[in-house]
Amino acid sequence: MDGAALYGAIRAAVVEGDAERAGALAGEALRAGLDPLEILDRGFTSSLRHVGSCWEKGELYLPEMMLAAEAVKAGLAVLKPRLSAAGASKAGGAAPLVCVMGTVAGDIHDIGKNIVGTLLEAIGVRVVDLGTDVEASRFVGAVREHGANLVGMSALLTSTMPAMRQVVEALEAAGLRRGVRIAVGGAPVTKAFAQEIGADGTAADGMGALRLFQSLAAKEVPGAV
Amino acid sequence: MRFEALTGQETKTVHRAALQILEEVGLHLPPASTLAGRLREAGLQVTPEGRLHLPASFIEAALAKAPRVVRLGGRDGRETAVLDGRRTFITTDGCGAWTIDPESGERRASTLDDVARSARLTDALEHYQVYWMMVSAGDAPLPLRTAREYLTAARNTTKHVQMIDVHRPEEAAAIVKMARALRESGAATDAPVSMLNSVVSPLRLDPGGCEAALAFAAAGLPVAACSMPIASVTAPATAPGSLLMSHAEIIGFTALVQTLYPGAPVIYTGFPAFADARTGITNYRDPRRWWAAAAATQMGQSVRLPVFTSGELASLLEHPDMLCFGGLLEVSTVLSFEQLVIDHEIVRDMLLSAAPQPVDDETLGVDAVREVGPGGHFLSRRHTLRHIREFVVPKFSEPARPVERAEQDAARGSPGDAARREALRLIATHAVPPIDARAAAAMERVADGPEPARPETRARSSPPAKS
Ligand code: B1M
Repeated sequence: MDGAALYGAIRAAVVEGDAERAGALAGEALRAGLDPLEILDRGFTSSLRHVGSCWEKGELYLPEMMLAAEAVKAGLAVLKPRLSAAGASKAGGAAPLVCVMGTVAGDIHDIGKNIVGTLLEAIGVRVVDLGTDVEASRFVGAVREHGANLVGMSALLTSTMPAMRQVVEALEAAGLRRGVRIAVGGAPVTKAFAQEIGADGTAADGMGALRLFQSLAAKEVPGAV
Repeated sequence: MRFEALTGQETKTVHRAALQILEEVGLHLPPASTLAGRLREAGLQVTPEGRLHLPASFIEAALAKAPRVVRLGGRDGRETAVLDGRRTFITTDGCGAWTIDPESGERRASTLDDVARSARLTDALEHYQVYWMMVSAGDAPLPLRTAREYLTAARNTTKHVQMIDVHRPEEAAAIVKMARALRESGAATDAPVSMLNSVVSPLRLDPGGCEAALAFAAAGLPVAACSMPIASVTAPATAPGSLLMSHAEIIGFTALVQTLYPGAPVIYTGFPAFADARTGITNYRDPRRWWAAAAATQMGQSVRLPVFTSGELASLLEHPDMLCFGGLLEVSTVLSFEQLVIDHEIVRDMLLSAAPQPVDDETLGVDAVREVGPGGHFLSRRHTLRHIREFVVPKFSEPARPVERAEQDAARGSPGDAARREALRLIATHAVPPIDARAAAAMERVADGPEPARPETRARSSPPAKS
């Protein structure tokens, strides 16, 4: 297959959510001598954007988008060693993007968090998922341990939203706040609330979260701490 | 009237599959939690990874300890909802973080005052027998929020209150104390309050919520053992798949409650749901939800537990003991007082539509037909007079009316406006007897907690609805 045919096949594999084929095609593209960054951009990222826009128009359903994201992840896994070798970071930033993600203390809702986490992985962010009912100290510990530059929190209960503020404060107290961008989300979370607690942004759904994280990452994240 | 969502054989197939899942896959809980410790002490094996495999024989033996009849009492000894399979009791919906303000129409965060007003309105609406905590009061301080919500609800309705936002053991302990105060004063004869706890689909136990539910069970207060899986998100992407997940989770959790507190009153609470395929959010408008709720009712009945479900009409035909319907918008996140009034009318109609219509000489009215003969009308017959009060007169849905009347009504606003006016009228005029003074004092002490009462919260409690 030539380049154009390969990119077409990658797009088809992503749209069909076929992770196995996506991974195999990534390997084939590398063997064909295509540039890893170009395979990522023209092959996978643009396909994901296409899927995202179809989802936003209501043409694709959520599981179809999630499977597409999994297919992109499979392609990324194959490309990754060559991308790192080229010293390239997908988001174009200086440091690789690492996001510590969790549902805050007292809260067990994780559907939204899982959706956002999967989509983030598909744009090359390494997601450290702390699960649900996560105390502020665990966010702090994980940011330190994994050198994270992004923090994502989810809360679905009005009674657990205050725990988001505690995480922001704990990161401040640990001297880590300046090194991370913080996104918060979940049905009851509003822009005003995000601002009030000192987070950097919020989004109403998965694609919104993807755009939010991309814009946060582009805002000169100081890098791994 | 009976509508069979499942055949007897299908009921057995679902039950067998649920037992298989509980044994092979099991439930998960944090292995170091107090809950895991208690279950280990009771002889169950929780693996170091937190897996709890429950053999079929264990489940069946534990379910056999659960009572078939559960009594949900009012706080003054009247209005007990006896869940014994003979009648369907209706609860309001809950629990909205937002409220549409009935005066300004503004959509704002819910408050204790909304608890007060919605409880009072529910008290006035005869077809609701149980007040499900309709909102989470954002203005009540944590961790006393749920205690204050309960006290506020109890002040404004004598009907049974079911808490749905309690998910910490200390919150449960406070409410158990309040229920004890009501019982010790002699005011409440049956449990005046119960709580709902959900298994976290798929197949996870929330230790906080479970501990809270166990505190209720220990005090003899009923627990709604709930599962609300969402097909395609937290359950297989089919109606039977969602049903299976809910059945497995409910019987698994019920068996644990019965192991620790044999004979504790538990309600089989099955809300199998479906996702909005685009967003993953629960989609109340998926019509298969009605099938699933009816099927869940059958599953609960098959294990001889009182059943609580949602899903409106179809499940009503299966005769659940309790049915949740009304008052909230936007997938149960926004309280609307006018919606509660409108839904109350729908509840009445649903109950009537599912009521049996006996066929006998009187109801056939053959004599009346003879009297009237061909032509003529039945309007001035004694037979008609005997039955005319059985007829439903719609107040808030569009009645047929002359053009001029319709124009006058339109000038006064939509049916929604009329419902809102009715809600405000009932809140202002409906009288609720006060809580027994001694019990009220004890409950206030609990709700005030260790810190001093907040004057602004009390100020909102101004009549007619008491916060
Ligand atoms: C980091 O950056 C970002 C950016 C964007 C982010 C983000 C992070 N996180 C999310 N987003 C955004 O993108 C996501 C993708 O589109 C979106 O995520 P969402 O999570 O909003 O959306 C998901 C795709 C789908 N939405 C959901 O999954 C939530 C749906 C509802 C119905 C819901 C569910 C499903 C559940 N529940 Co819960 N539950 C409700 C919910 C009502 C509702 N209408 O929201 C709500 C939130 N629950 C409630 C309650 C009370 C409870 N629940 C409980 C349990 C459960 C289930 C286990 C049954 C289940 C969760 C299963 C699971 N695995 O997560 C209990 C909580 C226990 C606890 N400790 O947390 C329990 C206390 C009930 C009980 N007594 O057991 C209510 C909260 C009331 C309040 N005032 O806060 C509730 C509004 C339902 C109700 N009407 O009563 C966006 O918000």
